[in-house]
Order: sequence, then structure tokens, then C-alpha cells
Amino acid sequence: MNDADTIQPMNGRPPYEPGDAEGFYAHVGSGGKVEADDWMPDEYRAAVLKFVEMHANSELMGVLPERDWIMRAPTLRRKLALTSKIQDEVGHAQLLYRVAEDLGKPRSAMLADLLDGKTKFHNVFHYPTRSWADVGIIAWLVDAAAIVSQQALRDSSYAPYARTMKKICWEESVHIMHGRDVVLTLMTGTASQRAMVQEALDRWWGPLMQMHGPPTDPAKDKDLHWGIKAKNNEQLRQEFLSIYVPRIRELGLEIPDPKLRYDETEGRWHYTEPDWAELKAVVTGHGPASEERLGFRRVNFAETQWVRDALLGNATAAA
Amino acid sequence: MSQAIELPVLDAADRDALAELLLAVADDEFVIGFWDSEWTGIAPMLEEDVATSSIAQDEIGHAKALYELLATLTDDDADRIAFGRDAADFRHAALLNHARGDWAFSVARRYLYETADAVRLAALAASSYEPLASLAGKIRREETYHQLHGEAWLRRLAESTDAGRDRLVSGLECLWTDAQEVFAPLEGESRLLERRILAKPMQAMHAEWQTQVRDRLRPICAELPDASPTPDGRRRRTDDFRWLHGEFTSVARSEETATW
Amino acid sequence: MTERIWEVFRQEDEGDPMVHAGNVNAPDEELAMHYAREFYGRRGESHRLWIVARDAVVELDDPDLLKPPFDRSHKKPGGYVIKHKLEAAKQRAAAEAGE
Repeated sequence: MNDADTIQPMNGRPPYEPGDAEGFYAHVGSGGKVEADDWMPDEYRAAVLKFVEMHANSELMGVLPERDWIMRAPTLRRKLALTSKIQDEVGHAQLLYRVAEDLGKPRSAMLADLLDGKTKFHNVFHYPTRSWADVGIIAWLVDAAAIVSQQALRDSSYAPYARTMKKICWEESVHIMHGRDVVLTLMTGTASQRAMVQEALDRWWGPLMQMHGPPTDPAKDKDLHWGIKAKNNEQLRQEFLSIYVPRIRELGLEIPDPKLRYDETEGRWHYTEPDWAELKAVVTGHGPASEERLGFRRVNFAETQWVRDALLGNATAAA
Repeated sequence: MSQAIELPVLDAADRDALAELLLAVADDEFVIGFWDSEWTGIAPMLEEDVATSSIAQDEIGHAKALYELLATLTDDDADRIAFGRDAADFRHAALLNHARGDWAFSVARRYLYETADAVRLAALAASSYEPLASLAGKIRREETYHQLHGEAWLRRLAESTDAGRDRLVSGLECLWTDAQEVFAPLEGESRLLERRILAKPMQAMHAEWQTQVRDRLRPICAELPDASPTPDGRRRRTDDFRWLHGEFTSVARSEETATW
Repeated sequence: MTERIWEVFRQEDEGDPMVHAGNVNAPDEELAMHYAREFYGRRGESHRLWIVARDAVVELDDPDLLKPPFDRSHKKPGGYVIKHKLEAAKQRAAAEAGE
């Protein structure tokens, strides 16, 4: 018998009223979604903003290590692919600053804070690039490590961020293919090309292992509880290793960590503990290329200010 | 990459003349694509960064197609043509010798180049040499966006602040003389005209372009001086270009026989 | 002149619905169109784009209007469950035919 005459329960209404933080957290904790103009506790808003802002900053700063190589790409197709990849990263910065801006912080303020060193960007973008092999390693492995995090974020409680992550993940998957293609071409090339790749891997492995961050106590990880992110740091690192260690080794490359091995019984990878002090120093602006890159951005921002003023008028000029 | 297309029959003199033309156009696209691709990541606004990068990538794509067509004629390889020559062997117009400069300079150069290229492409699309006519037709479709975007920025800077307009005018005036060289004479031009591979003489294209551009720029800057293409308009080189050449050949030539 | 936010809708293929894709910052309609093309069409992935200033969008999200409490199953296919009745009717018809 159908229930045509019974009153359906109230649906479509979030199970919390504006101001009910407990109800809100129950909602996000059980997979509920939040949109930009929904009511949210200040704490949650601040946490999402911080998370997204750092992500946006990272995309913007991430452009710089690879930019130099746009001019040096050695074939027409590589030139197109690399320029396109870096263009995508700029696009990701735009997408993410847009998400953050709709949470209440203007883009100009976010850029100012980044250039003043007040906000952070991910560790890997504080390191120099030294050869064409770096281009391949970054596009393949750094983007792969990033995509492992980003796929988990497609389920974020903050819906605008989750939707953006779906687009970003799709675009990153193309970058990884490009990166792997570059590496494979080098690894099937001359002896010095292969040596170039090994040398690049030796330099990038440490930062890669630090990239997902130190293991956190899940009980205290608010970003996890509130559904802003869906997996913890260690899970992400393990996932990255499981997929990519075999793919690196099958090319004949040696991973510069003698302790790296998979423990069948425990079902996890063992590795040399990454240097968390280095990570902390780097993300607070003391990486080998941090100051140079921020300096570069400051100069560029100042040099292009007249364009924003010309186009938008002084008061609202934001990049 | 080899193409299994039926190429019209050309004799050696035709082929040399056509090769010279293709190289000139290809080098123009290649070099401007390189300069403008430098804005990737550092353009004044994020949205504009993506737009400018697309336009630069399109130019590289056009250059690639043109080098590939040239390669079929000269039994060569597109990457070798692009990356294997010395700086002195490039045949781009002097307009493209300049570094990208500031945003206004790039906008000025892009405007001057796109308008000249449009006139040239219209003539190439009417070429008796079918592969070139077809390729020019394809390129023209992508150029629609370039022209819209170039005009959008020309207008905005011209109508913006004093600083914006001054920089634009300064760029236009600086580049004016070298801009003529998009129509610099080719050695094989009379041959190309005879065979209708080139549907219109350079001089006629130049006159058409100059009239159009003078009209457009009259409200923006003082009347630009008399200027015409010169015989070495595609052979002059600068330190800026030599620097660019050094950059784009640095990896490609680090190991001559390697694949990248 | 100030910057505005423009919502972008895209159509994947001819005849498909317009789907919200994201938004861009631009000072005017012309640049908004160019930027929409860049972000949602530079790979040749869209058949059509609509660009709409955010402040032109009228939003409705009141659950009283969109998810009201009383039964509306008669307005949807799922509100007409005929399986058992059909089975009963078939059985009765078969029984009558068999008499």
C-alpha cells in the first residue's frame, strides 16, 4: 500500500538552524554538504578558507619552478604540452582563489598575504629546478602526489571546493601523462639522459615524501572531522607509494631510500622518516628557493600593478 | 611525422620560393609564440594569464604546422627546422626581434602583428598551392579569437589611465618601423606571384595593412611616420633574439642525437 | 570600472542541457566572455557557453518551496506502484480464462 496520505518527513532542510554549530558539525560529519551562502560556524569558515587559500597559493607559486623551462622545451610538442600544463596551474589558482573569495576574503588580500610571507604554500614549490629531467619528475611525481590528495578532496564537505577539485583532478591527470611521457622518453634515451632523471629523482624524493605532511592524530584533526578533507596525511602518503614506487622502479630508477619497502604483514610501506624539521622550515619560507620565488612574484606584481589600475580602477585592483 | 598527402607538383625554383615563404611565416609565428608564452604565470591577472597563454600556444601550433609543411617540401623534420638552426638563419620579421617588454609593449606588438598576419593569411588562403591554402584557412579560424582579444586590449589600454595609454603609445611608436618588416620582400616573390602560390604582392598587402592600422591608431597616437619594409627586414637580428635562441636551443642541442 | 563575477554555464554537446561550470572575474562582458572561453572551452570541450553576471542570477533555495512536506508522489512515476495489482489482475484473468 502506498503512503499517499501520510505526511512525509521534512526533507531538503539541513538538520541545523543558522547558529546551531553542533547541528552543523553533525551534518558535515555525516557526509552533509555546505554551499557558499549557507550559514556556517566561523571556525569552519576559517578552516576551509585557510585550507583552500594554501592550495591556491601553491598553484600560483607552483608555476614558477617550471616556468623557466617553457623557454627551453626541446621540441615543438613538448613546448605546447609544458606551456599548456603551466597554464592549467594558473587556471587552478584562479579556480581556488575564486572559491576562497566567495568565503569572504578578497583575492587582493590573499595575494598581499602570500607576498608578505604571511600565508603558506606547499613545500615542493620552494625547491629549485635544475634540468629538463626535473620537468618530467615534477609533472609526473609531484603532480601524482598532489592528485592523491586532490582525489580525496572531491568529497569535501565544502561543496564549491569539492566541485573545483573534480575539474582540477581531471586536468592534473593529463599533466601526469605528460610528465611520465617525458620521463619515459629520457629513460629510453641516452646514458646521460637516464643519469639526468636519476639525479633529479635523488633531489626530489625527500620533498615528495614530506609533501603530504607528518602523520597527524586523527582525533585532533579538525579538517578531517569536518569533512574538509577525507583522508589523513599518512593514508595519502601510503597511497602514493603503493601506486608510484613500482612504476618508478620498473624504469630501472633507484629510489634514494634504503629503508623503503612494503611490509606484506602490516600492509604498509616502511620508509626513512622524512625530515619534518626541514618541512617546517621550508613552508615557513626558508626553503632553498622560497625567498627568490616570493621576491620574483613581488617584483612581477609591482610591475603589473599599472595594468590592473588601468583596467579596474585603483580601489578594486586585484590580480 | 610523415603525411600521406598528394602534393602538387613543383619544380625546384618553385619549391625554393615556397620554402622561403613558409619559413618566414613559420618563424614569425614561432618567435612571437615564444615571447608571449613568457607571460604564462606572470600576466597582470590570472584570467588574462590563461588567455594570453592560449594565444601564444596557438602561435606555436601554427608554427608547428607550417614547419611540418615545409619539412615535406625539403625532406626535413619540423623540430630540426625549429631547433636546429643558428640565430642568423632565422627569417622572422624584425618586429619579433624585441623582447616582450611590459604588458603595453606586448599588447602593441600583438596588435601590429595580428593585423599584418590577417592580411597575409587572407592572401595565403587563396594560394594555388592547396596544402598552404588549406592550412591558412585553418589558422584564420583560430586567429578570430586573437584578433578579438588583441583589439579588446588595444581599446582598453587606449581608453584607460594616462599611464596605460602612454605606455601603449610608446610601444606602438617603438615598434612601428620594425612592424613593416612582416611584409619584407622575399627573393622568390616574383616566382610565387607568377605561380599564384602567393595571391597578392607583399607591397599590396603592406599598403592595405598600413592604411587599416593608420586609421585605427589615429585616435590613439600622433600620426605615425612614413615607413616601409626593407631588404634585410627578415635578416636583422638583435641581442634579445640571440638570448631567446640560446634559451630555446639549450636543451634541444645539449645532445644532438637525443630524442626528447 | 570595477571587477564583477560572472557565472559560466556550458553545453557539452549539441542539444545537451546548459550546466553550471564555474565563475570568472572580469571588468566587463567582453572580457568575461573571453575568460569563460578560456576556462571552460580552451580544450574544445564545450559546444556552447552562457555567461551571466552573478548579480543577474536569481537564486531560490528555500526548502519550504522546493521540498515541501506533504506527499507529492502522485506527481512522479514512482507514485504509481502497480506491480501487485497487475499481478492480481493477470491471475484473475487467467483463472477466468481457464474456467
